[in-house]
Amino acid sequence: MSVLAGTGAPAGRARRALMFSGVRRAVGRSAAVRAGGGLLILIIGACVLVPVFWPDATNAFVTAPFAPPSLAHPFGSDDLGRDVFVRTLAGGRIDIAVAAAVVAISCTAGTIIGACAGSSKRRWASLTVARLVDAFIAFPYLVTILVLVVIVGPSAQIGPAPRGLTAVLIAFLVLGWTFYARLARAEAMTIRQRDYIVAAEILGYPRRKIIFRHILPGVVPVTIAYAVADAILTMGALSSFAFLGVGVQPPTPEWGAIMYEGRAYLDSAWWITVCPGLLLALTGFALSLLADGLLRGADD
Amino acid sequence: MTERVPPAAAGSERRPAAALAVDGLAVAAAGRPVLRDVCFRLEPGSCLGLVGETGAGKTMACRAITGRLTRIGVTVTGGSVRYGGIDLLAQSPARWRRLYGRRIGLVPQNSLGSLDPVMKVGRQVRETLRELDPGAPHDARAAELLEMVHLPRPRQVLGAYPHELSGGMRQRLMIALALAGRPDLLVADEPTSALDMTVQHGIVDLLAELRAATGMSTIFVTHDLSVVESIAEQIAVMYAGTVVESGPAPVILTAPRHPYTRALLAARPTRAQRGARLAAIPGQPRPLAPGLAGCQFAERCPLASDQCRAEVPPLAEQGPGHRSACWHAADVPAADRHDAPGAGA
Amino acid sequence: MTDVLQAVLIMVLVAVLVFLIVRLIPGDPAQQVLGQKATPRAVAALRHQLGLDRSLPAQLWSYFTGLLHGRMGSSLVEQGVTVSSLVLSGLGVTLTVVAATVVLSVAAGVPAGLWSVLSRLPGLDVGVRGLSVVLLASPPFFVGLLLILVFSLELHALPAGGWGAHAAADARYLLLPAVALSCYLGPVIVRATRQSALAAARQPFVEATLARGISPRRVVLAHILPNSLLPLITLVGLNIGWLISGAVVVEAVFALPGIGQVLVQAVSELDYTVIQGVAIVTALVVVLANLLADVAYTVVDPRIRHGR
Repeated sequence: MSVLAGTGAPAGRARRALMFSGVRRAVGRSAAVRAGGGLLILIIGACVLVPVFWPDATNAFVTAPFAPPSLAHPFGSDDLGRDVFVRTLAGGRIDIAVAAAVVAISCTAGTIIGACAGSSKRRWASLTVARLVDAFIAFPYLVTILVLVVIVGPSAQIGPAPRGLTAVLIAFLVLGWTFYARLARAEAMTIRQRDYIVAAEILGYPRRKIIFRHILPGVVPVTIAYAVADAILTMGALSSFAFLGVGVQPPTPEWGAIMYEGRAYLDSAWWITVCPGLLLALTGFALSLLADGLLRGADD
Repeated sequence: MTERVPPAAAGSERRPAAALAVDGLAVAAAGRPVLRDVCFRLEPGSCLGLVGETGAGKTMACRAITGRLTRIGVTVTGGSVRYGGIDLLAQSPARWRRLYGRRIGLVPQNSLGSLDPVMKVGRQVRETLRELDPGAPHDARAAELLEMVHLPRPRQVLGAYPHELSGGMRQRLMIALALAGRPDLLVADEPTSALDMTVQHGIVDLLAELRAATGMSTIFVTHDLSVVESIAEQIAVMYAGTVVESGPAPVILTAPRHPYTRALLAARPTRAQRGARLAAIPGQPRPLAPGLAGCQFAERCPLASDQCRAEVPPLAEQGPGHRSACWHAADVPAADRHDAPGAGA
Repeated sequence: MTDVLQAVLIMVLVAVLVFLIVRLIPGDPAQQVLGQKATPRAVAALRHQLGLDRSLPAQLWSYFTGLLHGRMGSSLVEQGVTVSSLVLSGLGVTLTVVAATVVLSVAAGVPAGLWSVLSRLPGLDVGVRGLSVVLLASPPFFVGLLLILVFSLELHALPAGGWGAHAAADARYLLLPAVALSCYLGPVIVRATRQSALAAARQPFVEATLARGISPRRVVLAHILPNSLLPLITLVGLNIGWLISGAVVVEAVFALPGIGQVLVQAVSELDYTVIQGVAIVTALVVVLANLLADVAYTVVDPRIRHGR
């Protein structure tokens, strides 16, 4: 039993506690986390609630075209006299929901695939995943997304998703897991070297138990930290699509689509483009604050 | 090693060495005391061995002498450090820049970490010479410096990156760099601790030789008493952030008046008999415990009495220049080479 | 050497993935390009042009031999225009924008990062960090629109888009797109410089050099700066892919005839051969950039050079 002396495997429950205690400490202590989280909740709340109270205002012509921002219409009106404020908040639902869904699914899938590949005894399995991910990641992100949209067919539609969104969503999901898998594999490979994992292997613990009990809890904080940055990226990419001729089609409001429509009137009615852009940047800022705080919390 | 007189000795406009006096020095890190009432004295041109276990505060004392406390967020809370007429604790960073290299040279412990890893050795030597000795032809001076520390093949050494040199070569180089500005006080912070036994002796011999040639004062910090035997004229022994005994080296090495010094002497591997177990001091060394009443060594000391646990022993005169902080100084047995393990009990 | 082998392996995988693009499209790609009303003869002709009427191994063979000779076929939409000519002309513009962005970001980001670490000005570090968080949160296309609004429409200082006929004129068209893209790379550089400068400043050699009497200014410029620049080589290499992604969008905003515009047009027209060409060439650029960064790092860092 001398092999086990000093290996100090943290018990499963203790490790899980460890994994979340960093997050909990960061939330409790860091002003950045509280500010970022508060701002995010405020934005999401407004996006969910405001269009509920003004259900007609999203696509209705409520005022004169090109009305500058005023108290009644804080973001002014667009070329058709629609309220940019309500449209922006309604559009935020799509951007935030897509980002959240894509990140949640990609993170879960990628973390599990990467952790399994990284802790696999079969070298070829680990290497295959690694090289495949490398090849996927070799393409510039947006190029891959556009190619995937083409493969799926830009006009494909599943369920009640707004026109043009289905292909984009599938493209995001096909690509998204790879980044998490790369991170998770690298992390799992370093954890696998630790003494308590080696000891567990020698003792003949089932592999599934080792992965879920000991390796995943070490991998998850790393991928979650990346997930916040990924959410910013996904929102930015989604709103870029209007400028690339794919993605959500008008008249459905979406931040990028609103900005693309407003771009033609940039010199006379800047608010149509700038206001949704500022909300997009503000959401990204809130997420960055959150990510910075969480990362620092996880570090110490 | 060699009979040659190091070239630096000739024609150097070195100042005469002054006396270094550390008196009642106390420093604190983040409110916790680290050093307490550190006292020792270094006569001009002599060599002081500063000895103690890891964590005893030797390096911290070195930092105080060389103006490097604030960099690591440590503050002086009392006492004085005077070198000649200079109050070393009151120098601004700009004033220290004038002292470094020119008055006080520093040989750091970690020679690999103390050189820029991506700059060739030659550039680092020339950079130092440009700063400290602007008039001299740098290439000639660089070669001269390397010869002074007995580094062979100067061209190869100067053209190498730090990681390409051996530990012993790097330490010689660090000594050369410290002496580039002809300082009159050399502070060597554990210069041999990271080296092999055989290389250690070379470095110690080199320092002794350079000292004899230049007349500079030297502080030699080490955790190994046997290293300073051959070089130090004075020895100060530190334990838990304070000096527990100081005095002339021959006296300390043969007739210590502090049980800790006595135990250190007994633990020297060179004095151990073949086949016998090395003597170890029971218990763990630990940093200064501010809340502890009495002698910091009491819990590990074979002579400890109730008085030791209640009152801090003062650093009291035991003989000419010999001081010890022990209530039972008179009861400490003399050292001899036939010590039984755990002697002193 | 292993770096090169790995890069080659990835390139082969990339080529296979690109080969699969057209073959993965559900239904008949030729039919999709031509629409439902196309005659069967036209569809058959297009299938032949795409090589879809041959066996899969034969397709793969001719695809790879073509690639090795730099042949990527011709556009399905614009008759007689080769894919390589389209892709290469676009690539030139895109790489110019990317290079200008790297220069701009390093020139602004390194001093900012170094200054924010070393200056004792209160609030400077917080300010620099805050600004980089804000910039990172703003997507390049939005920054680009803001730049157009301010510098083109309000100040009339720089063109809102387009590409000049000659190099001197291009510099004016290049500036705003490069600034927009620098709002992504700049903060990344600032962050990395901050971190590596902090790490370098904490290394014992900094203190040892100061204790040799060397001036703090020289320690910063000659020791801390080179040591903190090293990691930036790898960082820029790793970010080339993201910069090309950003360039695709920024080109759309500024109407630059770069590879992004080539791709967007090909996507809207379902010009499969051009899409393949763009995908494989951009991936090649990314792999080569990473390889170059690895090689450059080994050349610059003596520890790695001799360690091998």
